[in-house]
Order: sequence, then structure tokens, then C-alpha cells
Amino acid sequence: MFVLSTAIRFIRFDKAKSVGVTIGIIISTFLIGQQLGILNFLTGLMVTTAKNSDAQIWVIDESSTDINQLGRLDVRKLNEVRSIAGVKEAHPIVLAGGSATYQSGATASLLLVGSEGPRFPAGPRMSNIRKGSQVDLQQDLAISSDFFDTETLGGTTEPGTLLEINGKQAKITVQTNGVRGFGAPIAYTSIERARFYGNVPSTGINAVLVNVTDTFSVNQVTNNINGTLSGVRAWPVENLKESTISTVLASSGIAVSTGSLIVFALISGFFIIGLTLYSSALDRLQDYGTLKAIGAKNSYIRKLILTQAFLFAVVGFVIAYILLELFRKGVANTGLIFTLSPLTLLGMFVVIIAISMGSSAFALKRIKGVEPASVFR
Amino acid sequence: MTTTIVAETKNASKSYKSGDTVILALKATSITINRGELVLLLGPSGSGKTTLLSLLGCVIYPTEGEVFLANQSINGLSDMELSDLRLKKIGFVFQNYNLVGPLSALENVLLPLQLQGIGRSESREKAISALALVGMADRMHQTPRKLSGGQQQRVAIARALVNNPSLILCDEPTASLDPKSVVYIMDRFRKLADDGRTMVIVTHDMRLVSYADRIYTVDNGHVKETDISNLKEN
Repeated sequence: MFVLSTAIRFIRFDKAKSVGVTIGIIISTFLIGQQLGILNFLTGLMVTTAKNSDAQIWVIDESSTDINQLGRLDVRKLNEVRSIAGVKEAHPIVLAGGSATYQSGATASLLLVGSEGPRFPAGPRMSNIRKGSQVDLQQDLAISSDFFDTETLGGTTEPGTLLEINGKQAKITVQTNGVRGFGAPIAYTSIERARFYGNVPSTGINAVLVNVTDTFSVNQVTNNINGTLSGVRAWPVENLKESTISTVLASSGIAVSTGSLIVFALISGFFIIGLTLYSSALDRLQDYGTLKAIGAKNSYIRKLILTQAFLFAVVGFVIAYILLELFRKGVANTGLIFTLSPLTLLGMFVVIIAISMGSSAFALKRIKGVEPASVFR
Repeated sequence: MTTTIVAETKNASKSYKSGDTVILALKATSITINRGELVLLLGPSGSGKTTLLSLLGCVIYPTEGEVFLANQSINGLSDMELSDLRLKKIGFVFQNYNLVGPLSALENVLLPLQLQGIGRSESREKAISALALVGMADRMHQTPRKLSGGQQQRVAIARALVNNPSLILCDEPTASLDPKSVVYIMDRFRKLADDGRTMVIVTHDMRLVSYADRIYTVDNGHVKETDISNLKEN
């Protein structure tokens, strides 16, 4: 308690330096949180199709590791999958690229995700629909569009909007909310229309979505499929998401870019905090010398400095967290939706505490060298 | 009456290295400080009196010879043990007061007690009593920058006294004070010595001679006891 109250007094006494250290921590924390948030958003986009399906297992071609780059399967694989022990239901889906042209003249690429109605197991989920319903996807020419892709898609994604996909007429009947693709906007539709618009032959599918019976586990059925069928690979959905994210991160440079920004935020934070604490310690050398002269041990001085660093880190982190929440809410309105999990926040907090207390080493080293005899001048 | 030795040096010398040159700041010095005495260390700047005070204050080790505090040699003690000794046995008063800037007068006086781990209420009670003794109880919540030089020195004295140390060391305690404050502070010191406290004061201010029980003069690293009656007459 005594060290804590003294540390608070020291912090409050030197307001300019204290504000400097706190701002250093806020900037570091905010930049790290912002980068992690954007990475979270981008990795979310990479696995949108997996996230929005209600399947437990995806069966895809054996060479693919990225859900956005699936090869073609023959539709007969569907019945082979259905014959595997433990498979409760299996649904085919078609993923096809398309070039959309709007009445305004705007053009855009689309990823058509087709599955069987009325349930549409590939999506969209009811919770992601802003206007319309899954039933509306059964209408002639029906596709969905996402509200946040409005600007990309010619200025309107309202139900009733007519457009052409690969030269064939289509109509938006469902508007989704925050279902966005990684490379191109996603348009959900029926499997037949996905084939039609995407020029996919009637024997072609891209994946089989599987749910398992209550008596089998997801891993058991996955192993059954992989041990029985050739030319395909079954993935528990979470594994496919992880594989997709690592494949895309490894090939796109996103990880390097985000990682280097985080490292620079850490380094700059470390030195801003460290040098400001050092400068503050220089200003108070006489006080630390006096403390030593009257009998304070180095361990007490160390505690006093580290307690100040800890308090700076806590206050800076809390302010940065509030700013991050404001940023998160602000950009969510533009479709940049991300979350920072409690584990991520805890990790950030630990890192900020570590850089704040670690950077106080500059000050500690200087103060450790102060001789108690120095006060007799 | 029995004389109790509080601090003692036996042939203690101190040298410093400056590049390739060795500077002998204090030559083989033997002095004794007895309980209840007010002892002055007189001498010009650079004569070695602060070095002697630093040895008595256990903030430096002698290069040769020995220093004793309460019959305990400090020569073999570690830095931690010296810190502990300073905390429990010595009170310091500095030329520039050396109050810890961010802390109030009360918190400054509380420091030695809290560093010893004495409980909150007990230490607060002792600190307020020490401040009252120097007439500063009514300003105890002020930070040093809101106090005059004389007031800061009184707080510093309260901080030096609060632990009830066996030895109080003062380094030019009146050098930055106005004449009125000098009289106030020295009257306090005299009374403390009369009450059984032991005080060693480094000064080059001859006005303080009249308050002293004994005087050592320090010149070019040599220390000798001076007949006080001669100085008082002068």
C-alpha cells in the first residue's frame, strides 16, 4: 500500500511526463488492437462460406486446403458420402464466379454460393438476413446481396434490384447483413441457379456439406469418409477454417504486413514509454538518492518504479480499450466488423504490462547507479 | 556520569580515484562521538568534512581504518546491511533539505517509518508528533514547493528525528537559511542534544560554534579536535 500510494504521488507530481508515458501506451495498445481487429476481420472474410453454412463436415477435393479455391467434384460423390456410416445428411453446394452488370452500368465480380432450398445449408442463415427471407431465394432469378457491398455492387443491394450475371438476368430478393467474401462479394442462390449463372455443368459440385448422426462423432465420420472415399477429403468445419486462414495468410503477405505493424507498434511503444520513464527518473534522481540515503533498499526503489510502470500500463490500456471500442463501433457501420476476444484482450494487456515494465529497465539501471553519498552535495 | 560512544572512527581514511590520480580526501582519522553531544565539524570547502560525515553516516566505506556505529564496525557490512543501519540508527538533515518533492510534509516524515514496516496508525501518530516538535504540524499536508526554506528544513529535521535514531547527521543545515531560521533551527538542535540526542553538524558557519559541545576542525583531510573555549571567545 505504501509503495502504491508513493507511486501514485510520483505519477501525479510529474504530470507532463506521466501524460507522455500514458499516451505512448495508448498509441501502442490502440495500434496493436486495431491491427488485430483488422486481421480478425480479414480472417473472418476468408472463411465466410464456412461460417455461414450449418454443416459439421465439409467434403472437398483432396488437393484443396483453402475454402476459397475449391476444385470440382462429380455429383456422384454426393451419394458416396451419403452411404458412409454416421452421415445423417449430406448436401451438395456449388461455388462459382460471376461477373455482374448493374442497371447503372457498374460491374463487379461475384462469388455465387448455391445450395438446395428451402433450407439452403450453405447459407444465408436467418440471423444474417437484413431484408427478405430464405423463402425469397426460391423465386425465379433470385440471388442475395450484402448491404455492406452496396458501394461495390453498383450503388444498390435492395431486394427487387435487377442485374445481369455473366449476361443472364438475375434479381436481388434477399439482402444479407455483414456476409462478405474475401475476394468478391457473396451472392447466395439455389444450386441450379449457381450452375446456370456460373456456367457449371449439371454434374459438377464443389463440396458436400455433412451433418452427423447423434451416435457418431464428427471425427469418426471424418475418418470414415477419408478412409473410404478416394479423390476427396473430409474436414471438420473448424479445421477447414484454420487451414484456409493459414493457407491465405501464408500466400498473401497479410500476416507479414500485420505482424510487422504490430512489431513496430511494440517497439515504438517500448521506446516512447522507456525513454519518458527514463527522463522522469532523471528529474527525480535527487529524490531517489535521498530515499537511498535514509535507508531505502534497491528493492524498494525497484518496486516504486515498477509500480509506476504498472499503473501507467493499466490506465493507458483502459483508455486505449475505450478508444478501440469506439473505433470498432464506428467502422462496424461501414461493414468492417471485428471482435477482440477476451483472450486477445488479455494477451494485449499482458504484452502492454510487459513492455511498460520492461521499458522501465532504462530508468531502473540509471537509478541503481545513484550512490546514497551523492546527496551530500 | 558514564560516557556512551555512539560513533567512532579509528585511523579511517578515504581516497578516491580520478583517472590515474588517487585523491586522499580524508587522512587517518580517529574521532569519537558521545551520546548527547552536539559536535561541529568545521572547515573550508573541500577540506574533507563531508567525507567524514559520509563515513559516519554509513553511506561510504573507509579505504583504510575502521568506522563504528553503536560499537558495530561497518567495514564488513553489505550494502543492504548498511541501508538497514542507516534506516534504523541514523537521521539525516541535508543542506538542500532533500525532501521528496512529490510527497507532502507528513508523507516525507512518514518515509523512514514506513520503510521499516511500522503500521499505518502508529507511524502517522509518530510523524505528526515529530512535525509538532518542529512547529510544522499545521503545514503537514503541504508539498515541499509550497514551503519556505526554513519550513522545509524543519520538516527535514522532523524526518531525521521520527525514527528516534541514535545519531543525527546534518550537512550544512543552515547554509540556505535566513538568520532568523538559523537561530530557530540551532535552538532546536541544542535542545535535542540536551534531551540526549547525538548530533554531528558539518558547517563552515562560525555562528554555530556557540551551540556546540565539541568541535573538530578539518583541513586538507586532517581532522583535529579544537579547544571550544578559544573559538567561543573569538
